[in-house]
Formats: sequence, C-alpha cells, structure tokens
Amino acid sequence: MRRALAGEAPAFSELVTRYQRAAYLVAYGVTRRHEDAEDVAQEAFLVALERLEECRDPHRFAGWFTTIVKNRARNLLRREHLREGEPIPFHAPSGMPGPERDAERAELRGRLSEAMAELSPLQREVVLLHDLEGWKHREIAERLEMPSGTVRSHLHFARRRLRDLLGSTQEPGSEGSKP
Amino acid sequence: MSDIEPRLPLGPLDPAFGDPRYWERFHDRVMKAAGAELARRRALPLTVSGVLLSWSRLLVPGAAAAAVVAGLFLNPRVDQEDFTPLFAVEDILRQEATMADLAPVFLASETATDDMFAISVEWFPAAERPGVRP
Repeated sequence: MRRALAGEAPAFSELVTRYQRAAYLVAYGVTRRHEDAEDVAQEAFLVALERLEECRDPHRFAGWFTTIVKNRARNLLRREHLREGEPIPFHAPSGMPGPERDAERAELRGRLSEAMAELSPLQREVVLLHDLEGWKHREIAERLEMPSGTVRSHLHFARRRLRDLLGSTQEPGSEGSKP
Repeated sequence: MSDIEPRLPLGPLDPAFGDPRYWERFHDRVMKAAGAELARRRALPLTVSGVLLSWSRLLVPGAAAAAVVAGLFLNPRVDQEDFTPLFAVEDILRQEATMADLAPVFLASETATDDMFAISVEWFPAAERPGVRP
C-alpha cells in the first residue's frame, strides 16, 4: 500500500487484482445490478487511490476499502432511487460459446439473482464474500467490523433462505464456482 | 454452524462465469483510469517531512528492536532477582573492595543482618571470585 501511495503502478495493480472481485461482490450485494456493481467497484478503486493517505494502517486496507465500496453503492442507490425488488438485468457476457449455453447461463444467473433479492443487503454481502469470494468468517468480521458470530448467523440464514428459494432440485452454478 | 455447511454454488453471479477474461479486462480498465492519479503521485516532490516520516516507519521499530537486543547483551543478568554484589573475604581483607563498593551490600535490604552478609560472602564460589588472582 505504501508503494501504491508513491504512485507505483505495479503495487496498485496488485491491490486491484487482490480486491476486484470482493469489491464487485460487495457492490452487488447493495445494488443487485451487475452494471452498477461493476461501475461502483471501478470507481471505488479510483476513490481509494485518491484517498490512500486516509488509510493509516495498511493491514486494515481491506476493511477501509470495503467501506468505500459500500458507501459508493449506497450513494448510487440513493441517486437513482432504485427500489427493492426491481428486476435485475444480467446480460450474458459476450464471447461465450453457443447461444444455448448462453441462455442456460443467463437462466441460472437470473434465478440466483432473484433469490438473492430476497435476502437483506448484509446477508447478500456475507454469503457472496464467503461462498463466492472465499473470505473466512474472521476476515469478513474484521473487514465489515462486526462480531464473527454475527457473520456466521447471517451466513447461515442466507444459505437457508437461498436453498429454500432455489429448491433442492436445482444445482446453480455447478461449474465455475470457486471455493 | 456454518463451518459444516457446504458453500452454495454461486458461481453464476461471478461476472467471470463463462467469461474467463472478465477480471483481466476489469483490471485493465481500472489501471487505465488510475493512470493519471498514479502519475500525479509519482510526480509529487519529496518533502523533508515526508522522507523523515517514511524513514521513521522503518527506523523506529528497528531502533526499538536494537535497543532490546543491546539491553540483553549489556545486562545479561537482568532477570535475576539478586543484584547485590558479592565479595570474597580476601577482597575485603586485602582492601580491594572499598567501602563504596560494599555500601550497596549493606544497604541492599533494611532487614539484612550481618549474618546474612557473612553467608553471602562465604557462599561465593572460589573459582568465580572477582579479583582473585591465581
């Protein structure tokens, strides 16, 4: 972080590589829109770079940065007056082989997105960071500044709710899910 | 609670699902957008206070560690309870130990008696007596 502070591009590049997915997922947990989450995550990196002096402790960068992402996402929601339950456009990315596979992935994504909409923003954030980004309970607790037990509780109820909503027959994302 | 539960397969919510180069492109966009700010930071002149601050971040912990190590070397018996200097009878008789040297022995404890001082002197092993010439 100190090297990024001095404007060293490789150092900042490393920070981006390490936290880009987490930034997107945290933003997605708030906005529930792919495009918004993408914009918020990108802007958050630029804001973080401009304000890097404000992060006194390099060891707490993740928590500090996560707060920036969340605040930007909430501001975006306020600006755009997005309402809970609004449909989530999740376009299949270009370059995927075959229209049938595109459709299948889009359907999976759509079902997951709809189920995610039923969770609270905090539950979304916790379950995405844990089950998709692979952060540990302790890391989530530190970075979101909440007790570890609260993280476990949110994760437990989020998973249970998602399983109820998605049903036992569906296996969403049986490919591409990272541990 | 959640430790025994399997992770939910949320892969489709990752933008890289079916688009493996998504994060690479995202990364490139961020780096391109950050180019101006990174250049501005590189161009910032080095101030005296800035240099001292950056040095102090490394020097202060280093100096503290060095002080601890030096303290251990200079004072190897720091963890022993008894700091009272010991004198052999010969030292006293030969007057190699002056009264100034002996004063701490007598002042070491208000409750110390002459007997305790004598025991302390007599107990001192011959081989380790300070100032005993072979």
